[in-house]
Amino acid sequence: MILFKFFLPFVAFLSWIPVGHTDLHDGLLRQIRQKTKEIEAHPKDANLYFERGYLYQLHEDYRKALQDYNVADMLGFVRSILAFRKAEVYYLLRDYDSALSCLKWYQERAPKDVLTSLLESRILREKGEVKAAIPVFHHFIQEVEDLTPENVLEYSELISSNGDLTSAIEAIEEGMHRLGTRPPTLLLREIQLYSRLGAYDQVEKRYNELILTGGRKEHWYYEKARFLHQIHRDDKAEIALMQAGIELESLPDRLKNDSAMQELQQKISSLKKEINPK
Amino acid sequence: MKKLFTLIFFVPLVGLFAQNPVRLIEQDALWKYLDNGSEQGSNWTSIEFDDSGWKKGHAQLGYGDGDENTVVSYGGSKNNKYITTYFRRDFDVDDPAPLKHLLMEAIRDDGMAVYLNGQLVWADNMRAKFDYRTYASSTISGGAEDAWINKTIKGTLKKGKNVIAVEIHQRSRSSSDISFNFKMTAYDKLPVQVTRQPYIQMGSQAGATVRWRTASPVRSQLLYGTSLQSLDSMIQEEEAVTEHEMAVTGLKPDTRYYIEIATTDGAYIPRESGMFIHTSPETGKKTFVRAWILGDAGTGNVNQKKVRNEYYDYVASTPNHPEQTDMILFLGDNAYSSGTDQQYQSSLFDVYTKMLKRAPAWSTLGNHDGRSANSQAQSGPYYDIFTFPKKGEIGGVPSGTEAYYSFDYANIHFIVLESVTLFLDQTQLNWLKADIQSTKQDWVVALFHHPPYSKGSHNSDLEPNLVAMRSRFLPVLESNGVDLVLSGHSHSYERSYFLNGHYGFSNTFDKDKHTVGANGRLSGNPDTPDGAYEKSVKTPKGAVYITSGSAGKISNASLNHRAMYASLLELGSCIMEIENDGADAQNLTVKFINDAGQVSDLFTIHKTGISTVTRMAEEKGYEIMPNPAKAGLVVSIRTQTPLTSLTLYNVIGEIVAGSKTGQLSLKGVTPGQYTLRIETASATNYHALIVQ
Repeated sequence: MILFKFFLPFVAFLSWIPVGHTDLHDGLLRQIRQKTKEIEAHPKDANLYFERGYLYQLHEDYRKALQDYNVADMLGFVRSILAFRKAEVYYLLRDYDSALSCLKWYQERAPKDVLTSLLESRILREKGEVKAAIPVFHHFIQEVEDLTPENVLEYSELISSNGDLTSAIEAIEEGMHRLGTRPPTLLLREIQLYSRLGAYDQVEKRYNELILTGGRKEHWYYEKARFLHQIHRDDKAEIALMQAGIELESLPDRLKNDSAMQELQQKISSLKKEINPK
Repeated sequence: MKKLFTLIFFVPLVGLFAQNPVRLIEQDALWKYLDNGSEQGSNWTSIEFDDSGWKKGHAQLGYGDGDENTVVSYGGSKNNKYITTYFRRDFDVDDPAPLKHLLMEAIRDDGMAVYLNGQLVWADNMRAKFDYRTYASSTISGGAEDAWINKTIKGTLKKGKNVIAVEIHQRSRSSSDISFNFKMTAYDKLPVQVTRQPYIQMGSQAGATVRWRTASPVRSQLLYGTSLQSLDSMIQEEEAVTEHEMAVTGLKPDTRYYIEIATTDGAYIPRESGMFIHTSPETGKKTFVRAWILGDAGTGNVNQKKVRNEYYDYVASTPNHPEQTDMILFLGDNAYSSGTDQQYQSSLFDVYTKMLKRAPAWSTLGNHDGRSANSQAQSGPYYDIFTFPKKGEIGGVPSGTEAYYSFDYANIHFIVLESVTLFLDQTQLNWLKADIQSTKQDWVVALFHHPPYSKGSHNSDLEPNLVAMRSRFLPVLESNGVDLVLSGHSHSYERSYFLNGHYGFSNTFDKDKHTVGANGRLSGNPDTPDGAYEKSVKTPKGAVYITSGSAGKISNASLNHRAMYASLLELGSCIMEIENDGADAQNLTVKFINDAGQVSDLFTIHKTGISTVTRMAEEKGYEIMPNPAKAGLVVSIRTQTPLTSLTLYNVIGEIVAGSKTGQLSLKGVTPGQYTLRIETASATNYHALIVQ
């Protein structure tokens, strides 16, 4: 699922890049060539294979990365990070059992590395073991020093994919608490989840939070009005829409004339007509 | 408190509260050396070893860099160089008792082992077990080749003759260079050793964060004040640490506060006129602003330093606000090749020391920084080194992450995006929309590492990160009025025409279609007949895109992107200056200054009608008196249609007051912004109302 989410868009991008250009990372290829020269000079140096393997990994040439990691292993590379890198590459190659096996080996040697929980959870999810993936991700959320909104969203999506929307919302609340801030990106996700639950008062509350905490409000007023109209609360929708118009009107002209604001103006007019066709 | 500080200021400066520091080996000292690649076993490190047959020479010793005082031999073949070279120096000590701690400092390229009187006391860049055939563990390159590293040990000196013996190991037989220099100081009590000089972060109108590093844990005080002679305020750390990060708050806008760092024993980073927090002007204020912009700077080599020096010369000699640098904008790849902490030290902190202690530094992640940093977990040196606003503390919408964030400075809104791993990230894109549609600032400047347009050493037609930034993020930036977009990655300088709406490949660029304004297809240079690019109330479109990735190195490329007005294969950095131009107008000028000190490219965006607000003329059938209102208000209807109701809504659409007459009491209504609904038999109107 995660692979699908993160890598398909990437593949889509690649697909409209002109055919025949495979050298996506010039700098990396140069470094790989340099590292290859070093390997030629020191063919028994496990470090060099590990280093080139990582360059291949960054270059998204996962099979060659794995080959180099295996050679490094054979030559006696001693740092346990090698197992983590192999786990990452196996995961990207969709060999989830091998990925888990490497990861387990690494976890025994580096139990405090929370990134292992993140990777393990993703592997489990790809294997379809969503229930098992949730507590592992939760461990990551609990232990990671600097949580990001992306982490919180991924965790919430994992939970919601298991059909538990309420817990998914709780995960976002917990995440925002840990972040020490309530980014709009997470509030918008809560709005989606509350909408699916039919908890419209909570949706409205989130829009109000966005309105109260944002600098400019016209966009959030419009979104709130659109939502209220969708749930047939046109009396409230009308107020929000008027407030959107008033906010837009008060902007400096240079902002009003930005194409995004002109588009918003049109959307406000259209919604006005929908709410009050007379 | 003041009395205490007065007392402290008479204490001698850096480290001098340590008693009796004795320099035992000077930098560039005379050393004996053996450069024949032979096996020497272990006896050569002892005091008794007879080195009378060895050669003599002053440090720096080595070969291959051209900066050596003594060039040593690598043997007969440049592809089969000696692996190990040996160095010895003896010194006499009369009384070892007060020399309890030894601070050793060295330049080494590549691996090094140091012995004191036969005992191994320091090994760097070497495996745990090694002999004369063992290569250094990694290549030392760039700025690290000249960087001093250090180690402190307990003194185990002997009365009389002592010997420091050092072996330098090559990374490979074909490696081009080795370097060695060394100095050693003995202390009775160790001084506070500053291993990373102060640098300013999170500059805002109310404060800033000061960060620095010490070799050992110290509980520090940060003293600050508006006069260098009187630092009359202080904050103190709660515990002894090595990574120091102190937030100074409650300062006045646009004011300079000098700083000093001390312990209760006295200052160990003394005050100086060039070290200060200069707070930002009030948000929205139209004033002169200068930003120094550095892309792909982190080579640590002479090119980087030449580029730096030319900016220092420029800012010192310019008649227009000399010595004013309000911020440094790093466009990523700040420390080659992997953004490690050591590489950051040699390629950023050791290079820009002077400017980092006076101008807040902001950065976006580069792909090389990303080799050792993880945006998903906010981990790695890049995220450890920098402090950026996650909670909208300095203007803008909270992002919850240091990977992408925004901040305000005067009337400019800066947006920093992460293009290394989050170029397909919907969360970042959603945040960008929320953030840019939240600002009312007069100028919007965006920065991210991967350029949307480039035919430099990276090709924006081919690489996914560049394509994604162009096709996903540019439409949001442009439709919301971005003025300037700064990127690096390609090691050259490329600067676009005045663009809008070009999201395809280079060969689809059409000057007629994708440039805006009367002269958007020209140079934008106000000193030529082309004239500055114009942005006005009625024509708010247009942005300039700059790829400035040559602050540390240049790389050959075609440099023929069609959207570019200027494409230069030159080392250099950019300077952005914004200044007033008459009433309600400003100029944003960017200069590219190369490593010869020449301004190779210059353009200006002239923006007029910055504050103009025009309300649509409306045929109002009513009048509200007063507005703003305090205790109450009266609405007079000008038409024959009678008023049926007044309703007052707060910001979130809740009813807070109402009336069936033309009078509305505001008793109990808290001050703020409201919306008044005025209903007559024939119409409903809404009006903004301020309650004071």
